[in-house]
Amino acid sequence: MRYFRCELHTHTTSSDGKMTPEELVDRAVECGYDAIALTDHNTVAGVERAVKAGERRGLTVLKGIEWTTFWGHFTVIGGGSDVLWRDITPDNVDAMIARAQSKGDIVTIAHPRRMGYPLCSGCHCDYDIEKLTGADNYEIWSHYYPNEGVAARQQKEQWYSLLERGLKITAVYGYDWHNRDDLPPSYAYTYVGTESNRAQDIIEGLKRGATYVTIGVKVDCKAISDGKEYCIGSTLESGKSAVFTLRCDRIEDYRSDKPERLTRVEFHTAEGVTCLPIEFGKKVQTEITPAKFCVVEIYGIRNRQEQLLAVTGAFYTGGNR
Amino acid sequence: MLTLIDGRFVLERKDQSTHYKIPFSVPCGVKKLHITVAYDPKYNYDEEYGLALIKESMMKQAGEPLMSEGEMRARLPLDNHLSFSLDSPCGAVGTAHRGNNRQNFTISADNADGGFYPCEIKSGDWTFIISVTCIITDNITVSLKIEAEQ
Ligand SMILES: [Zn+2]
Ligand SMILES: [Zn+2]
Repeated sequence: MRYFRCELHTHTTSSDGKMTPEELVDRAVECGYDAIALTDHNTVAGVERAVKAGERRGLTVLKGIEWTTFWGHFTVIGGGSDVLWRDITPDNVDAMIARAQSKGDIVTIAHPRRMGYPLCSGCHCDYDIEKLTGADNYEIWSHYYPNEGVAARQQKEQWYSLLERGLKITAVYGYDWHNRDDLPPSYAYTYVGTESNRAQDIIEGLKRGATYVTIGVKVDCKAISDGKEYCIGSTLESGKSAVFTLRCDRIEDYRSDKPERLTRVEFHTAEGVTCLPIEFGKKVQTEITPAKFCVVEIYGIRNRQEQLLAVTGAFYTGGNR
Repeated sequence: MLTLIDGRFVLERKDQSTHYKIPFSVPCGVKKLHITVAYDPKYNYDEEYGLALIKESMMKQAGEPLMSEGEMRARLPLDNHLSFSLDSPCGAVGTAHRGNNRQNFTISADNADGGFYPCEIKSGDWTFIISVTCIITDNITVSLKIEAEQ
């Protein structure tokens, strides 16, 4: 298994994006992605063109759509869903998510804490979170300056609150890519751990929860318990200790301001945080008995400020759904 | 060219977050549909109203300030946003979700634009749907023309 650079939230001229499907694919190739998903607002009109362009350029393009409803947005990836966005209401949203999943698709809660009406109606998630607990992924980071501001903080808090309840929900970033971004502002990548960058393998990796989101930091993280190795997203035996190993390197082709150095790593479980110093290229190891989950947050200096630079999806312990 | 619809429709604030449906029927032998839609006003230039609405909505949604007064002012003037969908007798023919308040679409079996899917123009009952994503003026007047090319 290795980690592939993915962007799972993009738009084209088939909705309100500025690039044609072909231009988006060309740009994604230039930017070093292994796979993207096209998720235009409430239409799949651009999907076939993007998939064909991807085949010509050697880029995996996952078929997708962004359900852009009045009460919240979801990216739905896989191309199997037959749900019509207009049929989704606050009362049936849970059944609609389940229906898309039953066709093999992956459903992500998109930018749930972004400002909505009257600036961007539906961009704030007004659905009852109890109706969304079946979603596969949660965009803890979104768009430009993903690790800054109130919305990013609230999203991370809400994701942790779902993990604390014992849910399995995977952390992803959504670029919500609409423009060429020749000089991109701060943004992130979602890396997905899987066997290859073929569409089905990326979807499998997402279903397993093997992800991390990052601003310029390559993350290699695993846990070893009872002689068995676990990757991000996997479920460890409850109540047993595990040795977590982490190594971070620079992503040399990250196109915005790069991190200068790393400072610390935090291992978050439902019962507390273990904090250790970390440097680029050096291995960090610690033994933890995770309560419910373990999420790794990596901090460093960027633009002369200490910032959160990467967050892994969770390692879970037995009993989580 | 045969005109199937040429009308004006007025949306009000109470229509926020609803779908306004305009049925029309298509006769036999049509090869292409041309849709011309426009809505006005696009903007609400009342800055004090805009600022107050952003502040109120922000506190309701986030419970704390998401942006500074300067960042809020940079988002003015507020604008109306509608999206448009089409249903054929066989089902959904796509959605146009884009910002402009002047849009044209052409739909035929071989081609379609703006978020719609190529689709045979079957005779029967069709529906044009206006989804009221955001209304920040008292009214929005939508003018819609749908023409059939045989
Ligand atoms: Zn969205
Ligand atoms: Zn989007």
